[in-house]
Amino acid sequence: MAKLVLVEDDEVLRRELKLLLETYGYECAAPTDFCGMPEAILRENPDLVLLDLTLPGKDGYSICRELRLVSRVPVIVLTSRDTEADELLSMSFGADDFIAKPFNRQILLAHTAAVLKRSGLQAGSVTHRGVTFDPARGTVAFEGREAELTKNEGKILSLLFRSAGCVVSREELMNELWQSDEFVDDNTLTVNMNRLRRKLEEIGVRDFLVTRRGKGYAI
Amino acid sequence: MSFLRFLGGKWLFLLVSLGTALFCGMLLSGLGADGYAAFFVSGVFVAGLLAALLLEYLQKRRFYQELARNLQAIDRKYLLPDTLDEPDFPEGRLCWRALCEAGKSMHDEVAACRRAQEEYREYVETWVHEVKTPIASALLLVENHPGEISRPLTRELRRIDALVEQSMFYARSRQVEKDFLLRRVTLGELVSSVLRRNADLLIESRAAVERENLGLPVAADQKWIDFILTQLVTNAVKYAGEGLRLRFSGAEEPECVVLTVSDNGPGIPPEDLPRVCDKGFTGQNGRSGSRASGMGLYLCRVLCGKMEVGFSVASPPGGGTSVSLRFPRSSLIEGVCYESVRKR
Repeated sequence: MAKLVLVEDDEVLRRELKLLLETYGYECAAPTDFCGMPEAILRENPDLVLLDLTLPGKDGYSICRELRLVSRVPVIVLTSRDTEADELLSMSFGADDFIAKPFNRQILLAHTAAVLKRSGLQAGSVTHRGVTFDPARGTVAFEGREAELTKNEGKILSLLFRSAGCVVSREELMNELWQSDEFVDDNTLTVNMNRLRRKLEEIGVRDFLVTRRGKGYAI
Repeated sequence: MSFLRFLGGKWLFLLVSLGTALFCGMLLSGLGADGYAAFFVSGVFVAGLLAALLLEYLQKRRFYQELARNLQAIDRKYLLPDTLDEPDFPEGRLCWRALCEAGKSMHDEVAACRRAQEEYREYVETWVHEVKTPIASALLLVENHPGEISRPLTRELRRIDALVEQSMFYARSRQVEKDFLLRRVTLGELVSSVLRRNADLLIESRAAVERENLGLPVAADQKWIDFILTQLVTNAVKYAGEGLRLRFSGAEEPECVVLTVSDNGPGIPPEDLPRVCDKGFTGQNGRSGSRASGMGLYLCRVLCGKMEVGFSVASPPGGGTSVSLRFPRSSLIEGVCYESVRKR
């Protein structure tokens, strides 16, 4: 389980983000005292840091720069200042990614997963109820049998695995595809879902991908 | 100022002086002086008078001519006193000092207004950034605790966010300095970014998206273009409703690269077309549903103008609206120095 440190001074946002990240299977530490940064972050030994830029005392840029002097831990900057100049500045201070407030829940989770994957900290494949999904190779396996997935099917499965146990709506699935520049419509999603189901059935997986009428899908 | 006009200004003085000369001449001849002598004395008096006036005229002419010439020549008339030397006669000095004082007080007034405007803009920026955090919290709260009202509440929160964003760009559009950053991007990147950003809205309204020939590079501030294209996308969704087809296409012209966004909505009536980009203008379509603020397209035009991107709206008779953004090629050359440093 990847460990995240969330540095955010707004109480409600901190609480809700922590709840969100924990729901999606991350271990999340959220310090409430911003004096001893960045040492306090390093003490947690995180796999990823989510960093707000406007903090009481030392600002996010300085924390990011000081963090970079001693550690290579990936940093995602969360900020409401989202001009081109702000973005360039964050990158020049060593941030790995940049998410503007307010953010979509799935976009935040997708960026988090992507940065973790890039830094090689996320396990390559994930297993849920005996079904193994390998996003890097784009394959799904069950009891020794394997099926190859198209790019869209892979995207759909990675969202479903990321949200294992939760219901994912069709809109969220489409949004996931849109975020990787596959601007599909409703019909295309239906086609993709049907193919994905058939592939899962072909390798002997039954009743894995369930439809919740009017709500979406879950695994 | 000609000598005659100068004399014209002195008519009372001339009248009294000539009267005096006439009276003296008559007095002298009345006292028994020779007629010629009386005429001569009066003539000397008048000649001396004219000589004195001529000298005065020459002294003042330089100042007044400079005043008139500079007033014609300069663009910002309030800078006039700075272009003149202090004159060496009392009236001129008074006039010059008054001009200087007036100019200075105007400078102060303008500077105060500018400062107030700049402060206000800074306040709006800060406020916008601050309000984004509670909006982000509210959105997360809704998503983390789903319920019956989640969907409509999320939609309203997104609307609030869009309006907040608009107020920030309005403040930016008023600013004199350039605070955008041109970078070399392809039309495709610009379009993808705006589609990703508005994915929720477009998916919910079941819009079909077409993209064509978007490999062309331009120089643009992606965040500004994001905002501009978002206005166009939300307009299309607002007016076309279900069954929206949104088309983004690129084209090359000798002087520029054109991005055209077109939809299959109801279009704009021809009589409204010339004014759709005016501030506060809500056309027939906008008024019928009382949904238009008359700010969206106006801001698009102003922001494009600042980046020197051409902005034009057309509505072909067959229906639909198509908006074109013309990116000049010359700015592409300047824009190259900000080569993308983003990791994507």
